[in-house]
Amino acid sequence: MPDITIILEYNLNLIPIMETTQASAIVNCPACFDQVNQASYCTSCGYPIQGTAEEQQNFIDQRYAMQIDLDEYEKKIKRAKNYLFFLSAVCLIWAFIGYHNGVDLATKNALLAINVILSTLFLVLAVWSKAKPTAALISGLVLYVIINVVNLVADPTTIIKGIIFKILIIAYFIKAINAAIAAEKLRKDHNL
Amino acid sequence: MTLLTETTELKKCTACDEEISQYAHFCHHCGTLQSAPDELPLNQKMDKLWEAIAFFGIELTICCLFGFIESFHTIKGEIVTVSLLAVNKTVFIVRNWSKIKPVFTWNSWSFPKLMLYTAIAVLASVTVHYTTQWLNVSIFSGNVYYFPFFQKYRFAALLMVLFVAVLPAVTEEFGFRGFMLRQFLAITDQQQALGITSLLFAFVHLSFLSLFWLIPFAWFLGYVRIKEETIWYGVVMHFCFNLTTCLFELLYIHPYPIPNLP
Repeated sequence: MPDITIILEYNLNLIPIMETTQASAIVNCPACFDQVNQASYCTSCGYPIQGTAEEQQNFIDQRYAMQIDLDEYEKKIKRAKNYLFFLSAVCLIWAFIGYHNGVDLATKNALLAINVILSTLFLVLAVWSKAKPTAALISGLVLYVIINVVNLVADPTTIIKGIIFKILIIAYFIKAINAAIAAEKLRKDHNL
Repeated sequence: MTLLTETTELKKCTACDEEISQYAHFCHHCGTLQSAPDELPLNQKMDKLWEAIAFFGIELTICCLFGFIESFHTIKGEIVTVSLLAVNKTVFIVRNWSKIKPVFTWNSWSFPKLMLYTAIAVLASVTVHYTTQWLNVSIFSGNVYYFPFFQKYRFAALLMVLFVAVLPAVTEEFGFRGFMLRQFLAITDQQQALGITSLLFAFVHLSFLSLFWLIPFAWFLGYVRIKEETIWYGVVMHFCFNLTTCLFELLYIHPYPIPNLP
């Protein structure tokens, strides 16, 4: 993926970048750096290779705007990823608190095992969210909601505890899922 | 990297009919984006996502009713739960019938394949049976069985096979691999769609300790559904997996009453 600064750099110097590499048949696209035949448009990103300077400028501007959108989406995804790490840490802490406070060995073991499993799951989802954010974030949100439902059934007062924080986490997850799907589509459609 | 010269297979541009490389994202002649035929606009992807989440939310609510409310722990409660789950799946399948209809057909039926998948399911079930028994005893100092729930009713064994093996195999495959996987395949790539469906399928069982086998099992069912383009191999596999669990209880843990392991 080309960096914004690189796009801007080439934006100022469009013509020289179109260096021919194979007996003037192949050119490097100034927008996506892919090698393409000297056709009217780049087949990878749609850059108007033989367009006017204005058309080329407009294309670069649009691509720059898309890159800014993509960066915004990435920020939201990264924030949700950090929540997954945070939830993993919280579950791990609860595993040890549960084990310490358990009334008998069976309860201690059960609380430890369940919370360690949940902690591991959140950790795996957080790591997975780097490569596959849509799947990891949807699964993370669902797991978080299920844990709260189970806690609600076990002890109805738990739903009130940190309610604003819970709502915020869910809202951020929903925003991040929307961002992940939008980013995926933007990348696919424009080969960003 | 996309080079026009390296491609021999061509397709026609969706806008100008010019012949272009099948790997081209954009037409080299008119610059039009060449989206995949099934690629949806963003708003339709979001609609599909929310529809899948609505389906899962209802499914989860019904499972919670049965799982956590004591008065549902009867055969009538089981019937109500299974009926509600079936209605939920039917509604969402009917709404999307034209799109998901192909996976409900079984045109390339193959007996060797069926046997292979059945053998895999039975082997997996045996492995899971012994592993979960060991884990349950190690962690919870006891085991969980299906049969005591049905024991007090007439035709207990038949009821158990119906409610544990037959109905879940059909309804869960219809709902998760029939409807839900299709939804996520329209939203994202195959790998992620498989991942989400497997995880949600595992979560809805509300047994965190069982996640270690539910996730890979669901992933494999989803993989078979995509590979074979039909849900029926999955239905048979799911049925055989659950039936093996029932048979273990009926053949080896019999005669009841079934005690908790020490």
